[in-house]
Parts: sequence; C-alpha cells; structure tokens
Amino acid sequence: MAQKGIAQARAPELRRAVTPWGSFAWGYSDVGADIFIGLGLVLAAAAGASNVAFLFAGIVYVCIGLAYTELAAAYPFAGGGPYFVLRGLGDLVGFIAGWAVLLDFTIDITLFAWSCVDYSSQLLPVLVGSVHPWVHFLVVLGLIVGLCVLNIIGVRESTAFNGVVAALDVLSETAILCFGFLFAFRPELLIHTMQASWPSPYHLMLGTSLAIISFVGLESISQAAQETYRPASIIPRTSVALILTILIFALAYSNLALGMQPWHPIPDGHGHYLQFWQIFPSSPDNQGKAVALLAAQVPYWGALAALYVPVLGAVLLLISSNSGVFGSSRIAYSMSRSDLLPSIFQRVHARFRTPAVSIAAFCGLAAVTLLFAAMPSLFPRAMSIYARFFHGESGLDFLADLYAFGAATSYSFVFLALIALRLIDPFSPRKFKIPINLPVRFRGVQTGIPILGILGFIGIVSILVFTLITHPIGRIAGPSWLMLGVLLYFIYRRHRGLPLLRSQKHDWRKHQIQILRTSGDLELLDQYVANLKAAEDRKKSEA
Amino acid sequence: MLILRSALAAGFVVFGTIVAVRLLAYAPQAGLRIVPGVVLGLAMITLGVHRIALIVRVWRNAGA
Repeated sequence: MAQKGIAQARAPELRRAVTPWGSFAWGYSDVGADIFIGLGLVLAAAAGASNVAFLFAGIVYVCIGLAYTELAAAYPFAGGGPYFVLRGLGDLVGFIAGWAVLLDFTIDITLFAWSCVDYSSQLLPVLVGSVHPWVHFLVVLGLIVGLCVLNIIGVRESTAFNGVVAALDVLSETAILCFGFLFAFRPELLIHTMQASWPSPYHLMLGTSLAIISFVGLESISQAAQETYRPASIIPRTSVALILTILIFALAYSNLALGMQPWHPIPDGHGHYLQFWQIFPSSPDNQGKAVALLAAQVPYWGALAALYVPVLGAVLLLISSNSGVFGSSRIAYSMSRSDLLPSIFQRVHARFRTPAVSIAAFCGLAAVTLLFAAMPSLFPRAMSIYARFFHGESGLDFLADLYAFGAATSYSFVFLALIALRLIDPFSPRKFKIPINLPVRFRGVQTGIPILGILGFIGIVSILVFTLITHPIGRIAGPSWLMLGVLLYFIYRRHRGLPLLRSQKHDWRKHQIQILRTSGDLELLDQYVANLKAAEDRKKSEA
Repeated sequence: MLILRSALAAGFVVFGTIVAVRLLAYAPQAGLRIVPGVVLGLAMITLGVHRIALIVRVWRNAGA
C-alpha cells in the first residue's frame, strides 16, 4: 500500500482545503446522524437503563475518538481505520478490519436511507412502514439507487453544505435540549423510571450493544485528514469538540426521554397516560423517528420543532447514507490498490472518473440487505422463517444488528493498531497523544502504552460480546461475512502469488515522509527525520 | 462571531452546572442512578471550558 500510496501521491492529490469548522462538520454530519436512529432502538431495548447503556457506550466511544484523533493526526492519510490496522498489524488483519468497515458502510447505506424515510413519514403518513410497507420499501430502494447514480456521475455534497446542515442541527438540538431540560425534565421522574423500569441483564446488554451505533462514523475524522491543512494541529482541536458534542447529545436525549413530562399527555388506550419512552418498545415505526417525536413533546419549542426536525433529520440521515456509498466504494478501491481485493474494484468509469464498479457493487449489496430487512413486512409468510431463525427480527433491528457487529469489530482492531503502532513506530511525531500512558522500553526505544487504549479495547470487546449474545442476526451474518471475506482474501492472494498469512514488504518510513510533506506540517517532518536519524546513530553506536 | 461562540460556550458551562447540580441534589436517595446525568453535566462543562480556552487563545493571538 505504501509504495502505491506514494505513487498516488505523486499523481494529482486531494486538495487541502478543509477548515477547522469544515473538519468538525464533516465528522458531525456522519456521527451526528446516528442518535436519530440509536435513541428509539435503545429506549425500546434498555427501557429505564437507556441512559446507562448510552453512558457505557459513550465512555468507550470517547476512548475510540481519542484513538482516532491520535492516529489521524500522526498519519494524516485518507485510508481510515483499515490503513492504521494495515500499518500496525499487517496485511491479513488490515484486510479483516477493512472488510468489517465495508460491512458497516454497506449497512450504513440501507440503515440511514431507511431511517430517512421513517423521519419523512412524520410529515408524510403515506411513508409509514407498517401501514404501507411496499411504498416504504420502494422509496428506500429509490434513495439507494439515486445515491448510487449520483456517486457514479461524481456528484458529492459539498463541505459547505455539510457545514450548513451541521450548524443547523447543532443549534436545533441545543434548543430542543435547553427547552426540554428547563421546562419538561424532572429528575425525580428520571430516578423513578430507572427504579421502576430497570431492564433484565439481557436487555441491558442488548441496549448497550445498540447504543454503540449512535457513535459510529469516526472514520470520517481520518478520511478528512488528508484534505485538512496542517491536520496535526487542526484535527485534535475539532475532534475533541466533536467527541464531546456527540456524547452530550446522546446522554442528554436519553436522560431527557426517561425523565421528561410529555407536553401533550400520551394516552395508552386504557385510560392511563404513558411516559414518553413507553411509546417505543411496541412500535418499530416510532423507533425509527425517535428524535422527531421527542422534539414534538418539548414545551414551547416543540410546536416549531415538530415541523422542521423531521426534515432536518431526514436530510442529515440522507447525507450519512451517502457517506456510506462514498466510504464503501473508496475503501474497496483503496483495498484493491493494496492487493487486498481483486483489481475489478479499482476500475474507474471512463467518463466520470469514479470507481463505478465499487459503487455499484456495494449499492447492490445494500439493496440485498434492504430486501432481507423488509421481507417479513412485504411477504408476511416469511415471518415464520424469521421467527424461527432470527427471533423474529426484521426491519430496523435487522440492520442495527449488523451495524453494531461491524462497528464493534472494526473499532476493536483500531485499538490494537494504536497500541501496536506506539511500539513499532515510536518515531512518528504525535502532536496529540491519548492521555495516561504506561512508560515502557521496546526494542531499546522509550515509548508508552496507552492505558485508555487498553480500557477502550476491553470496553469495545465487551460490546462485541454483548452483540454476539443478544443479536441473532449479528451472531450469524456478522462472523459469516468475515469468514467469507477471509476465504476470498486467501483465494485472491494465492491466485496473485502473494503471501497468505505474511504481509508484503512496505516502506512505511518513505511513505510517512511523503504524507507529512504533503500535509504542510513541515516541523513534524523535520522531527520525524531527526527521530529516525537519532535511532540509526544509536544503533550504530551500540553495534 | 467570536462573541456569539463565547456566549454559546459559556451557556454550555452554565447549563451543564445546572443539570449536574439538579441531579446531585437527589444523590442521597437515588445513589448511582444519578451518574449518567451528572456525567452529562460534566461533559457540558468540559466542552464549554474547551471552547472558551480556544477562543481565549484566538483573542490573545489577535492581540499579539
């Protein structure tokens, strides 16, 4: 990858034009949309412990965010998690990490397009999935096909557009939460709900594994790194703000949902009134548009929010779905150029200069997952098969299962890569380092093991275990996807005469010099070269 | 623009303090159940302080 990366770098390069706000907006438009999906699913699963599920997943997410920030600032190259894993752990593990990210991006396309239609259904009842399943299915399919065509002809949403949507959403969510916490939040109700509706350990694990999907999309931090000027300085600044903003929104929504007095009483049909969160467990339609429903229940601002939040949510979710199309095709393209996937994935459309085969392949796969997710509602006879093999899971649950599996798997590898790179590449300057490190000497060089990286790894592996225990589809389809990938990898590498278990030779030092030179962080380049020279001098003197 | 951003950051600090204090008042009877809410308040305060620190740095640089 390194040599080819260098070869690519000498060809026309990505323009470094992303500002600090652009960098924040790029990440926010990806990760910020997740709470629009995650909130309803977690409330349905974890009930009175939803805020605890978000807290646990949120703490793990902070560790993941810090890991991505350190790696993206040290290696500002648009390869994302798979690139860090390739550098730290070699070709095979790099491939597995990339393959898990590909699963995530592919599900991302379907899941966010599905939720985009759910949010739109708040204003257009004809799109309600349970009432008009075929209309819902066809509109989601139409969105996937539309995004596929737009990506093939090379139309992308601009950073400026992302910035406007991100700014509107941050202001809107802040307003909703301010009005909610000031006028509807009752701490005693929150505590009562947590006591009265505490879930079983199984449902708490289920909720926690779903909560992690509210924090997926940190790949965008590293994807944006190669287009950010002086990334080592800008990325840590914007990432910390992004990580905290997303954590605040997730914790605020979950606490508010459990402890808010609905502005309009919600009758249950038996003469009783429901608490707000109780509208989720029995209704998949509600789960898909939780933020819009919450916003409408906020005093004063809710009257206005009920009108615009569904639209804003749908736009943000569509942007996220598009980032799935863009991300999956670019990662497949980059893996293909690194001899990790067949060369067909790097075929570029003669006229539009986009990786058309990759785009079409992953949009096609997204359409297949849509069909699987929607099958029971389209063909009620299929319900018995789903009930027997998948605990009856379909729709949003089906997609969330796979999304949680892909996210937990790829994040686990990123933590390992972070620790491995600290040991095998202590020379690359790290302008941002995860705090709290255990000093160690490795191969005669002083370095540090990130304690938060180890804790984060334990956290994300436990979420992966929760996913495998509580998600029947994730348990079957997730590992099957990985095994299929490894099988294809072995067949392809054998066919090309490349080592199966070992890595190809990479000149990472030359590659690092190249990426630091193009990043504009020239003092870091000088420091890197000086570190290498000092290490070589030390080696010579020891010899 | 900097003034607006400063006001927002200060708002986060104030709001986070209110959320944390309101929940801490229930600590004796609710015990650990207040933790997610208190962490929310602390996260708001941290974000506000982080933003204010960046704004102060910009102001200082502009002055210099």
